[in-house]
Amino acid sequence: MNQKAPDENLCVEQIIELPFNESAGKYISIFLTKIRDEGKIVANKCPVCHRIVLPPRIVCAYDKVEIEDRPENWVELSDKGTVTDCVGIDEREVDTITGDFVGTPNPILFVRLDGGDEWTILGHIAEEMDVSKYPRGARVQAIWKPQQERQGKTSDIQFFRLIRE
Amino acid sequence: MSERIAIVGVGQTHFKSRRPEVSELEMVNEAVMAALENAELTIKEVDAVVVGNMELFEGDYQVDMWLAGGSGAYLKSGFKVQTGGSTGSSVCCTVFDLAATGEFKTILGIGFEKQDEGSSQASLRSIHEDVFFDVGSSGKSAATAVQSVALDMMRRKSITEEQVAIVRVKQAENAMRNPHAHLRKKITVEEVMNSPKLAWPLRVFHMCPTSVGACAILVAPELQVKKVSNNPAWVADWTNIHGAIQPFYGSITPSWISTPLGPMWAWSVEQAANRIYKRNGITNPRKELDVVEVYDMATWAEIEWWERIHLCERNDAHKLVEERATWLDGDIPVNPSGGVTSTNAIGASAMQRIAEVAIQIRGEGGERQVPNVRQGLAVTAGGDMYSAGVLIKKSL
Amino acid sequence: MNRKVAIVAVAQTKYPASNTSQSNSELLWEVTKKILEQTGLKFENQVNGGLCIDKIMHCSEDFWQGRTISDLTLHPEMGGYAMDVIKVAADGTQAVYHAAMSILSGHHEVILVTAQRKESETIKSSIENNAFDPIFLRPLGFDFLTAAALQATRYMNAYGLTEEHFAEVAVKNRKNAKNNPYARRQKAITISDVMHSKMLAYPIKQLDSKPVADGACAIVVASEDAAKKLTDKPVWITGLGSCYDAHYLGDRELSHSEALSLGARRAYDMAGIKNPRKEIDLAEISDEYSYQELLWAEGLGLCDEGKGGELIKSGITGIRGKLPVNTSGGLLSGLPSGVAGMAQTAEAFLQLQGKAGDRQVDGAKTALVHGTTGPCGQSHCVIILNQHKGEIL
Repeated sequence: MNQKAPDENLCVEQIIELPFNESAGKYISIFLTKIRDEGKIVANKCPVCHRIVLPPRIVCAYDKVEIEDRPENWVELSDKGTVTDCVGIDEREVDTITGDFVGTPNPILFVRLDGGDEWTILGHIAEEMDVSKYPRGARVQAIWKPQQERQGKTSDIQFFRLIRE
Repeated sequence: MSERIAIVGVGQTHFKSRRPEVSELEMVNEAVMAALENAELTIKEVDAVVVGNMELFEGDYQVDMWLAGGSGAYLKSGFKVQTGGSTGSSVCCTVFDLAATGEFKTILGIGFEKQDEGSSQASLRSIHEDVFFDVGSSGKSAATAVQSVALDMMRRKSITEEQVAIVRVKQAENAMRNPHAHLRKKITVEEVMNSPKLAWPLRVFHMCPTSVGACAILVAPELQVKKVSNNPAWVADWTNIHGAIQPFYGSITPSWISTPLGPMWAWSVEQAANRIYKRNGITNPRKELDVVEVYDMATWAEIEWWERIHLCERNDAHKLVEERATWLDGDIPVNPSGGVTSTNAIGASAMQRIAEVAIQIRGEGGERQVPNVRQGLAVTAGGDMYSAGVLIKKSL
Repeated sequence: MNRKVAIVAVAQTKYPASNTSQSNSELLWEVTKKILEQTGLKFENQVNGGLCIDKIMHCSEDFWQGRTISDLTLHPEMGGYAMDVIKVAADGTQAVYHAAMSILSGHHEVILVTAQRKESETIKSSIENNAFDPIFLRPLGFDFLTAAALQATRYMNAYGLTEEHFAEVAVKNRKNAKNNPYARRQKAITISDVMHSKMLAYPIKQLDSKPVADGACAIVVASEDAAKKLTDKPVWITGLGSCYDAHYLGDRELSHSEALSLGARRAYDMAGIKNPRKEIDLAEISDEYSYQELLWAEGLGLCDEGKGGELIKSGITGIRGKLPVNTSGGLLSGLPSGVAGMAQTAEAFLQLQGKAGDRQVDGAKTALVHGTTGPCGQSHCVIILNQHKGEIL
């Protein structure tokens, strides 16, 4: 081509905004309503392999069968549990709109809630920043927001706190 | 009718952090033109084009539509597929299936990512976080997935931190011999060990970069191969496996937690390799394979994969380091390309594993060529829990 | 081509305007469950060899779910654990195409193809704008509606079709939908209703335009050996064709779809069809906007170029005509995009099995299914279904 290449690389900027109104569906609605209204965490149980599934789900991923919405398939879990993994990140928190880094988040805690089995693990956050305080086997307790502040999300639990039992 | 199929051409761009001087369409076209040149074909001989891309990263819905002019898809058959990090290998498997029907002359597969255009961090957050599960998602990233595997490796005494740094240097050395790789700087063991912590024991220097680039392969069935190629890389077998045992609603914790099956993204790698070995009568991969390409989102991952694909016994990865077995001049070179740790444009990465094995089989590896390659394996591991295994041979 | 491929089972949900009682995953499970119950099939990881589902192909797009790798949230509901899974990000017809090709490759025996979408959860124009190239077309604010309006205008100017012609398509399809148990309950409409409905983007009015819908669909595609074990009425896929057009609207002659003609030719050649107007008994054609049924009918060769208006007036494509089009009611009666191609494939399957109830086309032996992806039908997929296996080519 005979044109001189431009000195600047032009960019067309755009911010994509996609509004969503996502339905939680029957099973997650039950799960979140219990969290919001009763401060309780519920899971359901596969009738074939008896895994306790958290969050509750319409199908057992392993057996590929329906876990029907029947009283005998629901399991109420304790809000206390045992740490399986604590993941500290030296990375920083990401703003989901801009993708920019904004601050350091609390470590992620994976908690096997009492009343569940080896598959019943809730991912949440630890109260304190020091990962070494949450070794595998440490006992933790959910600290809830007061009922009037709860909205039916997992952030209705503020964080998990170490307990001395 | 199941036709035997071969890769007859491979093309890649030079991967970088940013490519502001080209549009996505131009960048994809670079890889396509390179593949056509490598195969000594024109776009006329291609009759189907399959594209793979994670569209939210660049913000281009149905991106294969816009790219039709640059990908060569205009007036050809084709469509778009995607499976997260393993998108590139899923494109290859789709192309392999199409080629094996014998219905097409030559099929072009393209995997690419131009992440400098969008916010992939924000997009990746969307995997774990949603309106209801709005806590703690920032911790669930590729870094923490690797961290949980790394901690486990140290617990089992598979590897020491210093040995990981030694392997990182190997990866850089290989990348320096690969003109397409992204990170091509010489580094030392000390620099690696002193690099900032990302999620200990994972350090910044262990982690893959965010790269921009495209990869393309051309595949043909046997009848066509005989007409157009005197240097085919025969695709002997291909498979995919997914580990979707219990993703949280909106989240993928099985990769990060100690499930009874271990981290599921590692589980699927092992399954994919096992299936390839079983179907093809491979009982001693270290002896029977001449080159391997694995999908290592971090140095630790490459080392874990050595064990998972049975190049050594479980917990014995350190032996492969002590023996330098997986080095370019070792008895089972792994990642002559430099691996994903050196180059990671998500849509292309999984395809590059397959492409590199094909390059090695075809003897086009230049300074990174492994001698006497007759049989090679590519195993990919994508976010999340997807793995593909592809076996490529010099002759069937 | 010695291998054969057939559809052996289909399942659909209803397609209401809004389904807030089920999440995306629960919606998907509804059709997977129906398939498993219908066929008795298990997944490859659940059996030790023998007949089983050995691949899962899911059809959906990340933008519609607002998250990247969106199918990760859906894998348990499609039986994904320990399976070969792939996602096709295009219209449902393209997923059926891929599944059929994978069977023909000899690499798989039985494939479960699923699709789900809840259009009610978001605003489609905000998604569709991003389908256009970001440099020239997107900043103009296009979505599929406004691009379609351009195409419809061009079509009318090129051949003298009228808004009334297009309205007739909407009337016909809405009437057909009354007999489709999966379509939503809605009033029949007249041409006057369509002509007086709200103008969205000239000449496309509210009733010329596909309404928002939620729903899911699943199909099982199988090799000859497997098909024979799974059903005594397999419906054979004898023709497959797909084709991309150019992207820039200005590069295309919008009144004539070259890509569709090519894609259709590929499918017809494979199926051995020389005269589609005679050999095809019914067709499901993508009618996202009413004019499209006519424009695509021309591209498919079901009438001469420019004669779409005459086609609809002739009654040939009516439910009792020689070549009924969209007995399901089509997209115009409410089908989610993406799922649509699968739903229309399911309709053709039911017709050829003789299970289409009050909308049954008597003696239907060969059906055509058509779907599009991309603005103004940039990419087309054509599938030919036949009660018989077809000649060995």
